[in-house]
Order: sequence, then structure tokens, then C-alpha cells
Amino acid sequence: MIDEERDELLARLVDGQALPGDEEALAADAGLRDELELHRALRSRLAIVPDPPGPDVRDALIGRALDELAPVTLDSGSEEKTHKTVRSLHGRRPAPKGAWLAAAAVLVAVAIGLLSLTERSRLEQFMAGEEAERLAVVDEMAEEEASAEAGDMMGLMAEENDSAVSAEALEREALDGDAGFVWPPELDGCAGDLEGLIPIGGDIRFVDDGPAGLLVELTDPAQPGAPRFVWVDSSTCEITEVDDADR
Amino acid sequence: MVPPRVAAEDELIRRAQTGDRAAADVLLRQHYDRVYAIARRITGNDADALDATQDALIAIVRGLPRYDGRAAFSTWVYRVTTNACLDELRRRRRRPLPTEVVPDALSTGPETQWEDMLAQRDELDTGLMQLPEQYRAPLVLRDVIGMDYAEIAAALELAPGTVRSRIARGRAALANALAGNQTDPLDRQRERDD
Repeated sequence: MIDEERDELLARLVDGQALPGDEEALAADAGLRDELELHRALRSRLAIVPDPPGPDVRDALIGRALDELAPVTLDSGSEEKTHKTVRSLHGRRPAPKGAWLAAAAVLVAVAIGLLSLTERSRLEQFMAGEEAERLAVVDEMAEEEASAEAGDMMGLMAEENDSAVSAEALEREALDGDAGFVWPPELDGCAGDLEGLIPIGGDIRFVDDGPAGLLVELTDPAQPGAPRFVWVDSSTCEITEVDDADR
Repeated sequence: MVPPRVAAEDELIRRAQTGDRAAADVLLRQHYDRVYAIARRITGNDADALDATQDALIAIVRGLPRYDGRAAFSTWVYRVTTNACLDELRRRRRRPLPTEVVPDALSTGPETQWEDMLAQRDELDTGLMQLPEQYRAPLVLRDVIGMDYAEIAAALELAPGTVRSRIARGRAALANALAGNQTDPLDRQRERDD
């Protein structure tokens, strides 16, 4: 039996895992029996381990190890349980709810600020684009105007004048409540008196002005070629018929 | 049917893996004594045993999410513990020996039972420290923890035949050391055969 076989035989006998033939080999070898007793005694001595340190040390060792526990999401933990885990992991109480709310409010405010800046930037870009487009249209119009013929320009000017008249009429309507007449400043207070003199379908024309009033020509479509003249006193709005000779 | 005790341990492991501190605490307390025993026997002194125990417990907690249940939980725990102890031994080689291990104490005759026990303890620790680590770890798992060869093979990631051989050689070498013979057991065997 080689040495390695002998050691393994002893190990099997000590561990109670003897194979067929091991007992016969043991019975035939006194030295092997002595070694077996030695190994058994040795095993008994090894099994006696010095007592571990007291519970305080044990608790400290285990507590320190548990501090390394990965903070995984608790499957069924309540809020209080989560707080306990946080306390156990970090050795301090979690921040009060108010602090979390304040922190959340700050974050929301910052987010809104960033959004506002972004939106403002986008709006400015949009406005800049609009302005450029408007300028392009103006330039195009200017080119078109520059290339237009004189007649066209006159026509345009006439149209513009018409537009101006129309605008003036509208303005007058807004001021006087009627369309078709422009009351001279001297007769601002006499409009109501004069309107009653205008024939249906007729017209009024301010012919001349004097130091205290205006001469007004009233035409009647029913009597063409026979206008009527009246003198309006601008201070009293007194209306006086004027013969053609007096005029 | 799964035995209730195993089912309860499985539930504890599952909860501990999800971060349940209370479950992890129960698991660590269940295995604490054996973890310390392994550490004490492999490191050979109380101070290093405490350091190794702490490292082992931390390694167990950190490794919990990676435990996949292929080996028994206890087997996995003792493997982690053994590795922590061997790491502690490697660190210890870089610092002075603790004063607790005093081989000279064996030369003074014990006068009381207490002193005799301490002397035997020192003697055993000294003998174990003389063993190569590759013999010491399987011997401790077998004779201190009582694991069978298959469990030791799983814990140390060795072939069962290698485990059996190392335990046999380790016992022979330890017996030789305690007998005061510093030669290799195989040499002693040859001398006896001659």
C-alpha cells in the first residue's frame, strides 16, 4: 500500500466511509490502528472550536454586514417600512415630507423656467422668421412698384386717393353721423340746422366764407340749374336766404 | 414535497435578496457560529478570526443577489467564508504575527486544566497553521463543520477525489505536526516502512 492509499484509507475509516476490504487491512496492520486512533482524536480536538465572542460582538458584526445590504425596492413594504430600511442603511432618519415637497417644488419651478426660456427662444425665432417674410414681401412690392408704368402708378395713386377719400368719409361718418359732407370747422355747431335744408337727393357745397359765416349752395335734383344759396352765421347758426344778386 | 424548514429558508433567502434586512439578519444569525468556527480554525487566532468573520458576513450579504440556489445555501455560505478566510491569511502575511500565537508557551508545563486547555488550543492552532492552505480548508470544513466530501467539493470547487486526498494528507500532516515531527507525513511513512 503506497502512502497516499494509506492516508485515504485512514480518512475513510475516520469518516465512517469504509470500503470493502478496509476493515481487513486495518486488522492486519497494528501501526494503521494506532494512526487511526490518532486521527480520530485529532478530529475530536478540531471539532472543539473556541466559543465565539459574546452577543454584543456578534450583533455588531452582523449589523455591520447588514449595512451592506443592497437597497432593493421592497415588494410589499409600507412607507414606514421603507423609512425603517433607510434608517437602518444610513443610520439616520429620512428627510421630513415637507422637505421632499419643497425639493419637488424647486424642481418643478426650475423645469417651468427652462420651458419658458425654450418657448421664448422659439417664439423669437418665429417672430424673426415672420419679420423676414414681411420684409421680403415689402421688397417684392417695392420692386413691382418700381417696374410699374407711370399710368399704372397714376391709377394706383388714384386708387390710393379714393381709398383716402373713403377713409375720410368713414372718418367723417364716425364724427358726424352722416356720410357725404365735410363740415367746415366754423359750422361744427350748425350741422343739425343745415342738414334739414338739404333736399332729398340734393347736395350741399360751401361756396365762400366771410368774417362771421359761410355761404352755402344747396342743389335740388328736382330743380336742376336753380341752386339755392343760404348764409350761415357761424356763431349763432342763423340761416339767411341769399338772393343771387346779394351773393 | 419540500420540507418546511427548507421552504422557510428559501423564503428568507428570497426576501433577503430583495433587500429585506430582517430576513438577512435571521440568515446570518443561523450561520454565524459556523462561520466563526471556520474562520477561527483557518486563521488560527481570535483577532484574525473576527476580521475574517466580518469579511465573510459582508461578502455573504453582498453576494446574496447572486446566490442562484444551485448549491445548498449553507454550502455557498461556507465557500464564501473559506475564501474570506484565505484572503485574510494573505493579508496577514503582510503584517506581523499577532502575539496571541506563542509557540514557546508549549515549552512551559501546564499546571492547571485551564492552562492545559489553552496549551492544547495553541498547539492545535500552531499545527493547523503549519498546514498548507490547500489541506487546511478541506480539513476544517470536514472536521470542524462536518460537511461531507461532496459538499466540500462543491464549496471549494474541487473534484471529490481531490477533496478526499487533501483531507487524508491534511490529517496525516497535522497529526505529524502535533507529534512534534516536522517532516512531511509521507516521509515519516517511508521511514516507518523501512
